Amino acid sequence: MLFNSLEFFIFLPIVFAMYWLIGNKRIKQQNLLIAVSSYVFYGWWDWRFLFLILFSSLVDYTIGQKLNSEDKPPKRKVLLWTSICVNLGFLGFFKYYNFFVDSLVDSFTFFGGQLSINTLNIILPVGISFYTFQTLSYTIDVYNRKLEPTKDFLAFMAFVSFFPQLVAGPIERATNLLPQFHIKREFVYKNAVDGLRQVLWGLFKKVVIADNCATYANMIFNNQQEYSGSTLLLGAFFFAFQIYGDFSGYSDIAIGISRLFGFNLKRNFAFPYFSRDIAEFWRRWHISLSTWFRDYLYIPLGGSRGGTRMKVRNTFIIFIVSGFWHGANWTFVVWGALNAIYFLPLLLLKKNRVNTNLVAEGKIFPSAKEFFQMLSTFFITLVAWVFFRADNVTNAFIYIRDIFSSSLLNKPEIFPTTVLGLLSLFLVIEWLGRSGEYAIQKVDFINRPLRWSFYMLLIILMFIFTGEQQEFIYFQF
Amino acid sequence: MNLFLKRLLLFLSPFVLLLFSLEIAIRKIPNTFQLKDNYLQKNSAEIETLILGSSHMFYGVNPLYLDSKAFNYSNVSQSPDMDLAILKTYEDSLQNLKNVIIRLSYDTLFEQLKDSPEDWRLKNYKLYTDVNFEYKLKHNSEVISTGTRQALKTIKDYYFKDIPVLNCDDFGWANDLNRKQKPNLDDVGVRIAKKHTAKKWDLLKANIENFDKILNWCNKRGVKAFVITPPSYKSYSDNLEEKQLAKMLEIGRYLDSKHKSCTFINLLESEDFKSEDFFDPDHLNVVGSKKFSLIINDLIEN
Repeated sequence: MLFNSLEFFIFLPIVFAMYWLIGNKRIKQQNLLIAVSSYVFYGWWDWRFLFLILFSSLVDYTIGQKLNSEDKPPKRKVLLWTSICVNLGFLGFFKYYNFFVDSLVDSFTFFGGQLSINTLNIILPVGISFYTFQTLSYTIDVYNRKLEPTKDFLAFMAFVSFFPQLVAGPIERATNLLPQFHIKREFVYKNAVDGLRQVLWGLFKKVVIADNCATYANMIFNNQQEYSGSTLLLGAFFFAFQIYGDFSGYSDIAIGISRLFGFNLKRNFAFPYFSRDIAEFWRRWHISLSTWFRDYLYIPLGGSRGGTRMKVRNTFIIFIVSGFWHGANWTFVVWGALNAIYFLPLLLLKKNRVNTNLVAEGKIFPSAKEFFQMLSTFFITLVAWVFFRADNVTNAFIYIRDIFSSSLLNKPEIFPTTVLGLLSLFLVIEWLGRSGEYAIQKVDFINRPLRWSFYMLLIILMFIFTGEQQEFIYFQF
Repeated sequence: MNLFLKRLLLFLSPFVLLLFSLEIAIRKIPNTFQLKDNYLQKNSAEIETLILGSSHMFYGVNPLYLDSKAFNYSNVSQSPDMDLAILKTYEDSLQNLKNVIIRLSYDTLFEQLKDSPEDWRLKNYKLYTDVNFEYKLKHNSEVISTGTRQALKTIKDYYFKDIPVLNCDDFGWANDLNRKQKPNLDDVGVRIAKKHTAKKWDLLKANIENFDKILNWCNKRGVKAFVITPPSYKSYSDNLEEKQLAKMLEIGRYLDSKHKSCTFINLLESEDFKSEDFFDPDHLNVVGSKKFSLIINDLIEN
């Protein structure tokens, strides 16, 4: 079920009403409702893959219990690796099997050999990368004794399948979300209003920004050979805002809906395009994934404690794995590697934690230096996004080569003023609201008639400027 | 909670009202699908030739040039699964049917309306015809299927600019080309060819099955079926991917040899059609459609 579909607009009020009618004294029944409705939500896409989520939940729940009762380190390690193998096994099979087969066959062909292995017609289960990482975090935290395993299977099922964030995150840690299924959830008017406001902003980002940008990004990327450098640059610009509006919009909707049910999810985006260097960008973009890799991969590998060689190795590993997590294509690997190359100089020069505060805090305009830093950071991410969006690595290189051709100075063949106007408005709102959790969080200080008029304006803009409905990009990951 | 719900309802009520008004206003506009359904409801027993398929046939085949009593039930983006659904829906009343004209274009075997970005068009069949199909919930509403932006545009065009939504004549042939801007034939051929080149072939099997079902249906009823690849301009046909084109032609020949009732005709690169016959590289204009319709008439009659 898509958040921007009619089905969801019917589904959500029904679940919301039932949830609060059950009452917050009956936690188990509320958890049951969440689990059942989450399975309905997921099964709407393809019910067959519900067994995968159920199996994953069963395995990790059981292993969690066993880890708690087992004290011998070797046995505990076996249990941990069983969970890792099962979860990553499913992920590897569904997401990467064909990629590995194709790559193996290509390698043999390259060296003059011949190998015949057939690829399979595999459907990638929606959200598998997200819930796999979520359940893995539970087992690893229980193994590291950072978390008591739950004895309530229903609560665990609801935690794994929680519908607002099941298919595209934020990837919640068991330490944050699971305990919330054990305690009474209160309906707090202020939180519910805040949640709805975040949903509204998320929908605006998705429907107006991402979907409109998608139309032009697709047009330009799909016919890249026909356009001048300036248009190609514009295409990359549109894609940068498509992916931001799409993914952060989804996260906003997920967080907002969770608040309606009395849950608090972690922030996933913090105005990444206002970052002054790439390290800051990565602290602000897809935070739940970056911190997951930091805690469960980068730190166990030694982090940045070792020598230069270790720092370089670990940085490349984390960025390449992160790229590969996004999809079974070399374009994502190159995208990850490119970000590692951007990041390494900052790390080696110990400048990766220079910009930890809010840009131009308390000011309306940034300084010239801050403006230049933001612009240059945005530009290098733009180049990296070309690899993320392109069909293959060769096309990405050609795209970048063609951007920097003499036609970069030509007038773009495509120049949609309406979409660019909407983007400008969006950037102004984001800039003015950058001190909040999301851009329009702090409109609370305006009186109600004005505030409502502003919300209505956003809805009217959604009515008038709805882009062609697109599936959320991160569903495919 | 009560306060929250009260304020939420109060806030949303103008929008709900607006959406309902838009929905009602659009549904009152006469449209092509209503016309086609009404025609079949009243005249299906007399129809001898039924034309199915996508825009290539909608713009390409004018029933007025056919000697038999014909009706054009093709529509933009109509795929073989829809063609089959149409035949099944009206099968009882098509008592005098002798010929079915179906298109097999370069892209026909590789896409289906229900899986395409244009699946919103299915609301036309759901709302205005009796065609049985696997619709989605959104297809019950004009506004939700097309989005408010398109809905507002439709209302503005029809009620304020007098631009009709109905774009076919009484026999179902599209007659709105004079309202459209003609593109440069040489410029857009490559792009359209690329757009029609399938990235995946996962629908091939299902589409062949749909053709088989249509042709079996024709066999059973003694109806002649003409599977036709419509003409196209060279900027389009020269840029088609060889593998996909070969597969399309192979399936056309396969259908011809497998089904007794079927005749496959490939006019893709027919030299009878010149630049002045085309509206765009893969659609005929009024002059071209007359030529195409007369060719089809010859096929039927001889």
